[in-house]
Amino acid sequence: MVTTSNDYQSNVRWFLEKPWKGNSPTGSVRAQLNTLQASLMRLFEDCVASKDQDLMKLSSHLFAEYQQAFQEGSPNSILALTKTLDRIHGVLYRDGELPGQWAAISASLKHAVVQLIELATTQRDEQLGSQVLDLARKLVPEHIDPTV
Amino acid sequence: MKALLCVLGAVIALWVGMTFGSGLPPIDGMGLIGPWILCGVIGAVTGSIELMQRYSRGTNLPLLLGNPWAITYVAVNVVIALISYQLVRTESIPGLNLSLSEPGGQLRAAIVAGIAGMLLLRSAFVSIRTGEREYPVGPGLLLDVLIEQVDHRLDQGRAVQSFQEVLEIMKDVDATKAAVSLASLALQMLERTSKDTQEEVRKEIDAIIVRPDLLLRAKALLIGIAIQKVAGVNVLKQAIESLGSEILVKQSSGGEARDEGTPTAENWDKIESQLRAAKSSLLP
Repeated sequence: MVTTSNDYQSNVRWFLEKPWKGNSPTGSVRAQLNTLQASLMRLFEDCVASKDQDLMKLSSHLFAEYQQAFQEGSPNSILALTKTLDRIHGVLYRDGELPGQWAAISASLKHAVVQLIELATTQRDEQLGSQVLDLARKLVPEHIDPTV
Repeated sequence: MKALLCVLGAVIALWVGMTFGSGLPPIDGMGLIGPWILCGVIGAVTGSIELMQRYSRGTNLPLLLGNPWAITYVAVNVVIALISYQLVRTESIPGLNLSLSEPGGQLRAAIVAGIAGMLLLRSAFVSIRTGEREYPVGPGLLLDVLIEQVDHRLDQGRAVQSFQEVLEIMKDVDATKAAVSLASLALQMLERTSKDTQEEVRKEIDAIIVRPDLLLRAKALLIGIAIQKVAGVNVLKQAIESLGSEILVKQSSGGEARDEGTPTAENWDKIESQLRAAKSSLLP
C-alpha cells in the first residue's frame, strides 16, 4: 500500500495559505488544486440551482470537506470528498437514469472527478486513485476494467 | 526604572525590618552562625528562583543545577548577602538601628541585610543604550554578565542533550502526519503556554513542513526540536504516545520501512492506466 507522496501536504498547505499566488514549490500541483477548487465551486452552484434538498445538502458537505482537506493538509479529507462526490452521483441516478434538467450537474461532477484523477496520478496516491477509479467506474463503466 | 525599584525595595526592606523586626524571637541555640546561615539562604534562594524562572521552559533541571556558571551565579548572590550582613553588623548606617544586642536583633539584621543586598545587587545607577542593547551601569552589571555565561553554556548543553533525546523520540514519527496534531496536543498539555507562543511554534512548524529541500526524517526532527524547546522532552514524548500509530511512519508487512512516495509498481500501473482511460472518457 503506497503512502501519500512526501510533498502532498506541503503542496496542499501552500494552496490554503496562498491560493492565488505562485509561491508553491510545485506549481503544477497548485494549478491542479486550483482547478479542483474551481470545478467543486461549479458543481456546488449547479447543485444549489437544482433546489433539490439532497443535492444541496451533499454539496455543502463537499465544501466542508474541501476546507478540511486543505486546512489539515490531510489526504484523508480528499478521500472523504471523493465519497461525497459518489453520493452526489447516487442522487443524480436515484431514479435509474439521469433527469434532463440535471445534465449540467452531471457534467460538473465529471469535471471534478477528472481533477481528482489528475491529483491522484500526479501524487501517485494509490488509495485516492482506487477510490476515484471506483467512482469513475460508475460514471463511465464501459471504459474501465472492472477487475482492477 | 528597574534601578529605582531596586533601591526603593531596599529602603522598604530596611523600614520593615526596623518597624516589625523588634518582635521577632531570638535565634536560640543557633549561636553566632545562625544569622549568617539565614542570610546566605536568602541569597541562595533568590539566585536559584531567578535561574529557575529564567530557564523554566524546556530545560533539564539537573543540567541547570550542575552548570558551573549557574552555581557561580547563586554563589555570588550568597556572598553579597553575607557581605551585606557584615556591613549591617559592623557599620553604623545613619537612620538604621537594628539593635543587634536585643532579642531578635540578629535575626532582624540577617533578614534585612539579605533582602537589601539582593535588591542592591540588581540595581543599576544608569543604563547605557548602544544599538538595541541596554547595559546597566551598577552592581546589576555583574549579574548580567554571569547570566549571559549561564545562557551560553546552558544552550550548548541543552542543544546536545535535547538533540539526542528528540532524535530518539521522533525516529518513527511521520512529519507530515505530526505537523498539525502533535504540536497542538503538546502545547495544549501545557496549561500556561500563551497563545503567542503557540502561534510562534505553529509558524515555525509550517515553515519546516513546506521546505522541499528537507528529507522527511529531517522535518520530523526539526518539528520535534521546535516543540521540545517550548514544551520539554517529557511532554513531547507523552504527546507522541497519546497520538499513537496515527502519526507514525507506516511500516510494510515485511518489517522494512518502505520509501514513502514509491507505490508498488504493478498495482499502481494498473490503477494509473485505468485512471487515464477514465479521464479520457470523462472529458467532453
